[in-house]
Amino acid sequence: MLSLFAGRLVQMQGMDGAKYRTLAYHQRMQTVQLPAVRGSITSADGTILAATVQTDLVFADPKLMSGAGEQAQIAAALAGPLAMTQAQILGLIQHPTSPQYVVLKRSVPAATAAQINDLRLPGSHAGPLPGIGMTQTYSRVYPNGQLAASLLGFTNTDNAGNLKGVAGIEDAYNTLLSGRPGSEELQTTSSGQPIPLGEDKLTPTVPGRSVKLTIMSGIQYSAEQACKQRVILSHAAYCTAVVMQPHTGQILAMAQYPTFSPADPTSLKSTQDDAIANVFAPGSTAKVITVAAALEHGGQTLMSPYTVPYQINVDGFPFHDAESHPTEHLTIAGILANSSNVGMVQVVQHVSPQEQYKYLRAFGLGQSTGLNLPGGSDGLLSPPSKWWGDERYTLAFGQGIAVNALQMADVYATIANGGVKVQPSIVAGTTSASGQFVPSPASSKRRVIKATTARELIGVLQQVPMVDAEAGIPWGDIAGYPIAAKTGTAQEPNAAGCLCEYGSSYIGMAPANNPQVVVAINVQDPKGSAYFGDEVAGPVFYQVMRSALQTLKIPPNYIQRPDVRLTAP
Amino acid sequence: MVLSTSSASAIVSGEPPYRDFQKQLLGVALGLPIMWFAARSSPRLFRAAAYPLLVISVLGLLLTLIPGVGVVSGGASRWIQLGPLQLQPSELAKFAFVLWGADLLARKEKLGQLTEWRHLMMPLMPGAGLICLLVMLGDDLGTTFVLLTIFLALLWVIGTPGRLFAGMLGLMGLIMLMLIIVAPYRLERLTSFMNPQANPVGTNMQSIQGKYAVGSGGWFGVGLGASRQKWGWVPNATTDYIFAIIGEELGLVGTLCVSALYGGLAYAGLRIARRVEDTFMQLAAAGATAWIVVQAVVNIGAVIGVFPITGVPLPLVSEGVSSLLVTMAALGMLMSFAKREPGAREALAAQGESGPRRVLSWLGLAPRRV
Repeated sequence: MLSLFAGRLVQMQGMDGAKYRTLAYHQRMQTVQLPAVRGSITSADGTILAATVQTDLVFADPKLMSGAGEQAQIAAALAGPLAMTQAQILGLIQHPTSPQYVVLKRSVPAATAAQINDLRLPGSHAGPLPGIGMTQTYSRVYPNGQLAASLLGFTNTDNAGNLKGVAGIEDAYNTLLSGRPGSEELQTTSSGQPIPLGEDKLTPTVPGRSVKLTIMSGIQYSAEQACKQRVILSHAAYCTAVVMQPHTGQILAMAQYPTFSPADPTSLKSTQDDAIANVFAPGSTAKVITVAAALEHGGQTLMSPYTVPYQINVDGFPFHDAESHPTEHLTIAGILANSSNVGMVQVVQHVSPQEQYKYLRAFGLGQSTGLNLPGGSDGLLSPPSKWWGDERYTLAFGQGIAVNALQMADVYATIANGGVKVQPSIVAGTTSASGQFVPSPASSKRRVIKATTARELIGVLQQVPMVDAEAGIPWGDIAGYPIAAKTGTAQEPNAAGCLCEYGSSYIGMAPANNPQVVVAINVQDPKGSAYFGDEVAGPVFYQVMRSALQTLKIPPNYIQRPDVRLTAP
Repeated sequence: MVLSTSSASAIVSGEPPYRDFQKQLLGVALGLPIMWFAARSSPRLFRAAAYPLLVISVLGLLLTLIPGVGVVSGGASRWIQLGPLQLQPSELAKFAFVLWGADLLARKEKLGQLTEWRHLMMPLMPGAGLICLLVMLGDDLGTTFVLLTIFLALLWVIGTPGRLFAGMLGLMGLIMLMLIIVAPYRLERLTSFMNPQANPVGTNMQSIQGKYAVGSGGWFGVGLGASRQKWGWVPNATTDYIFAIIGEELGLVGTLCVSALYGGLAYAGLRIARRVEDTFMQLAAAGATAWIVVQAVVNIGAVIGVFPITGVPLPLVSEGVSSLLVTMAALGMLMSFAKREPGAREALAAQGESGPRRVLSWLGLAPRRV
């Protein structure tokens, strides 16, 4: 008998021991998830735009309450701290999602949670409220409300309780921001408590990195305010404002109105980043590209003379200018400064369609902005082989092409940077949880036009504020700063296909002698009689440019604009 | 081992961790003087105690069956409350049955009545039947099995004719089988034993978790006190399944040592039974040895999956004061008998200065000096 037992013991413990050990280990193993703290998002100047805070989820277990009377008392006690009515809370308690669980409120701040812990039922000296419990959670907060909302996007909480970015930077940089949750494998008793001396395998949590944007919160704020005012005044569909630093490609502000509240987004559509997602016909602001092509490859100079009537027929297609005028003799500079469509239709005839297309592409139109943000649209630019009818001529003055606001800001940033296009960027770098900052790699650069061409174009664009000021619309005139700018008014098809909607743009740079900042404003579908770019987008440009110059501490230099002959002899 | 396992299971169920150990320690404190006293008593005293003990056992067993007096635990009513202690009269009944049966047969032997099988069986068999019936009313098949083993051991030692013994063996087997079949849970245990992988959270939970524990121990064990399985995984880890935790904490070395100790006990007990000249001492020594060793074998066999689970404690190791006290008393009796082996007194007197050597010589294991 003894040797039978000994044999069996040798078999169980010696030979099969490892097998039983593994089986037993796995049945006792419980994995506990350790959440990683999501990194914050800050502006270039250090303003916290998005942060993670520890909050509590308050839940109720109706089974632990003695009756309807106690339920009512508990609901009354919680009403104040939870900012809900007693009836709301009572309704949840009486109709729990499962017999012993119902969520009363999520993301309750720590201070409120402490307050709830201290609540006592009247006449009861024992412990906190019966049947009320709290679980620790992480919540995303946006301390500056709607500031930069369309850039930031927003987060949801997934089934595992982790925050997950859904739009904007929160989505694009989700992996970086969220880090990697850790876990702990514990040996537990049959009822789930950890066993002393039990094996313990810890996979450490990797906290999320913080993302630092290139956005300057001051400029962003005033751009948002200016856009909001304009949309309300003009009953426009929306307004975008993009502010860029030409030599770095950094985006200093990308604002829009209407916007949304990242803490409480109403719909996914409302969270769209209009400056990269919405496309429109650029109109006159695209004329600089045609002129650049004509100067570099059409054998033209700024002083090449043209006869510009109000109306003209080319290849059987009629074109006319925005406002009627007697026949004028204008230089190319004059055509650009006065924004004459009839003039542009003649200038473009010196450039081959292939060359025209090449220039539009080189400036980045019809291509990705290269910005790592979700929901961006590349716009629409067909190759010459697909051009039909008068498309070659309409493209000369910015119709028949669709662009987004950032692409147009980038065109002017390229000119401002002496003809070298710098890839736009929105993220300055990321910071690890231990505070180590890693800057984003420098943006790629590419020459698009000659430095002299850029110089000449800026000279002409400096005439635009003067022309506008003479017409009584001085929005490009900021005392002490030489400003180069271009207005645009494009026709847009409405839902019915009628070209009855307008898009008003105002894009400019300052100081023109050494451009430090580019501001691009676009206001779509303003209602009422005023729809020209200078009238609608001009005031927005004025406010945003002033704010940008102040924030960047660029001093006024009072340098006079160069004289450029606008009229031909 | 009781300290190691009972503290863990008490923590799991939220009780004071040292309470059960304190009880067991109290049991040892009471048991040692009892064993000392028993070792110094003469066989006459044991014979004299046989009837009183039997009466007390029967009364105790009857008390457990009275609702309100008997303490019900796990569906079975086997205990009576006495102050801070819960006593299990069926433990005492084993000892009483050994003494009574040995005394009865020894007296009949002396009168030369044992040539007739009627005398052999009367009144031993009805007595055994009565005690077994009372134990079975307390729903305790394990103890019944031990009692029947004692009965068979007594018959064997007294020299029952082969045909009669075989008949009794068959009868006992039949009774056991019937008892198993009439209670569904026992039948389930038996079918579980035949089919050990089925139903891992139900009837087989104990045997599977026990095997996990024993297997986890490996060659040298996870270390004293370091068992994981005692944390609520192995049911009855402090009593019937304490051997599984020994296996986990002390490994193969520990389980073999414990098994060998029972083997040593069996050897020593049977050696005493063979060498004493008095019939009563022969019978009582054999009966007590059979009781303790069979109980250990049944317990260990169940844990390592060789026998079906019957639910008997591991003598001297499992938690339970009644079992401990009675087993220690029985061991004391064996020591007392050992001293009365022919030549033992002389041997002791000759070499009796060293304590450990004396203990060994009681068990008949000391090297003999002539």
